Amino acid sequence: MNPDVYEGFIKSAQLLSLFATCVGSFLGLIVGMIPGMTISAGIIIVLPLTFVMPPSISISLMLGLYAGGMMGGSFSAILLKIPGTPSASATALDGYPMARSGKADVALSTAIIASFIGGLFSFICLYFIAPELAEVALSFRAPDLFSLIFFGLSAICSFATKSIIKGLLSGMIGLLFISIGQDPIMGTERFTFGNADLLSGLHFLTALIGLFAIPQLADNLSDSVKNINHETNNSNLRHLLPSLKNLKIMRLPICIGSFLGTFIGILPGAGGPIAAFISYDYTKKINKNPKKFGEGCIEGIAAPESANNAVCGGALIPMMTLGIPGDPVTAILIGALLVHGLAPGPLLFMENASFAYSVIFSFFWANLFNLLIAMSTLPLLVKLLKTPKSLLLPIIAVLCVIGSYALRNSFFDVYIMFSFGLLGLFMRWLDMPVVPLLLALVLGKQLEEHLRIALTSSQGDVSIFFTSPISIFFLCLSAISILWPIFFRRKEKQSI
Amino acid sequence: MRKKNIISSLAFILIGIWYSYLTYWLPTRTIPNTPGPSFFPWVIVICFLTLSILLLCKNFFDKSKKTDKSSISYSTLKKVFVSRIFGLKSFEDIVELAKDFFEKKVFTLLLMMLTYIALLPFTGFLLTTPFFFAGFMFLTSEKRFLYIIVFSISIPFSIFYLFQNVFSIFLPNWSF
Repeated sequence: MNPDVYEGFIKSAQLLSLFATCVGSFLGLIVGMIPGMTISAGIIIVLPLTFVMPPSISISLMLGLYAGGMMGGSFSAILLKIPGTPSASATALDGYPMARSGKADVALSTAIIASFIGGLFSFICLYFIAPELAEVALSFRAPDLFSLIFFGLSAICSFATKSIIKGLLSGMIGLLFISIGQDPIMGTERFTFGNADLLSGLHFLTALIGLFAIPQLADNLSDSVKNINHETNNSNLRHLLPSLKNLKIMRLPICIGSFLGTFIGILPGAGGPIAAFISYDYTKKINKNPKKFGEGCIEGIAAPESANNAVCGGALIPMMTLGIPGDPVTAILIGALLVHGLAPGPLLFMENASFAYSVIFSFFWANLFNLLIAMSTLPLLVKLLKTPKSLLLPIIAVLCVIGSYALRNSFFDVYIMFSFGLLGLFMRWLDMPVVPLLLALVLGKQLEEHLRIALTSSQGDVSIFFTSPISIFFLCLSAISILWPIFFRRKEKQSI
Repeated sequence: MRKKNIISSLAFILIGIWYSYLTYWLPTRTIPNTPGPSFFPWVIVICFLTLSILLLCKNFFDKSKKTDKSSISYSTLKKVFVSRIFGLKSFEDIVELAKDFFEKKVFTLLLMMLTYIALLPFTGFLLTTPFFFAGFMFLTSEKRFLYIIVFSISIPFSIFYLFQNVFSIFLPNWSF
């Protein structure tokens, strides 16, 4: 056995790491379940705690939260018809009708089992694909890396669901922000206005906290004022172990969901909701009796649930091997690793291979704990759906302030966080997506660095990007990634 | 949405022009035939301005198809021009847009948060947070005063204790 794999497994199986994963899973299930709370917000809340933890423990906590949140989202989708996370939207289609017909336990147990198997499948893919991909990525030169990061950024178009121009503008705003501070090649001061705090640039985690948390607080505040009450269909939650007959029914949908979810998770920008809906749609198409979909069938819950949990492992593959986030949560995970001086990418498998493997195994533990916690404490978790927002919201606000302060013990970061919060509200008002800005904040610095290194080595000749086959491959993928949503939208308009 | 887009695209254009001005004063290149520190900001600003202009044009020409060109007088032309440029017809429009942007409670929350983070370096975490916490609870329509008092004191103190003693993250304390 590879000694790094063994060491990674031991690291992830340490008592403290397992405890952190367990706590993360529990918190994730709660965060995912509470409508209005996102997994990103949940990770942002625990972020300040992770600064003082060893990296392997902090990543265990966050991975637990990530996987738990994905599973938890389905509980409120089934019981309330309000998906706790966007990825659980497809689950509500069949989960809620099933719960209403008095089979809440069957719906929930299907969701739990499907989520677990989906997560497990993506863990296996992560374990086998990630190290191989990292080895390939090690041979990348500056033009290839530029094209790769450009491909990561091209996912912006997938997030710009309403207007491509606004999505691209949002990305450009992010790039404007990353140009603040010293330039990555020569160290020249740019746009600092003589402020020493701006020399090292804006920390993207601070920006992230503001962009995600403050608009969410505002949203939840509006909801709490409107007194939105949720009634749960949790009359029967005692028989959560699925029967053999039901397990047989969910076999094929789980296989479809797991495979599609992992594959879609690898693609930057695609994410859980797309994977869940595609799996749901495909399972419905190949089913002998598609009419039962939407009325509360097991297949309609198993396919999207396995898909959205498989997305987590899929999204971790480009994050770990190429340093490219597949969704906002993996972007936050990259930031959290950077705080510990660990840069995700191919070098992680070279320089910190045991840590890289410990992350992979932590993901396995996270899925296992999700299954155990969800099966054993579901009635208690459901009660937590009634947590008063009057307590939850102020705690989130205070933790956001602490999180941005604790990053560098600086009040300047707190002000930056608040300013980004205002920017987030402005962008929401304008119907402008925030995720492109986030992607630009995460990838912008590297994009500039590799672009300039490549152009310096070619003495300013742009053709360097079209000579390497790897670079050409990623540029072609970028072109597809940019043009596909435009083509898709045009086709959609024509069909209307 | 059209009004919002026109106003914001104009704001973006202004920001782009300001950013170009700042970029202009950055050092250009120090090694021949290599991109200098101002290279990437120029790339960004060109894309940013192009997209802002595109957004403006898209919304500006959107409504022009619906106007009746035969009855355009100087005053209507002026009105149309002003409304096209700013996307606004009257003062009520501005109030409506502002209302749309800031819900009353959200505005109060932002004001509270601003005051909280402004006071925090001087008064410290323990002195300021309970007031902010209580204010926020009140804002979420919580009317039970005892409940507000108990939690607005106990939770900030617990958070302070947890961070300071368990996680060794030292939060700001009062510094008069």
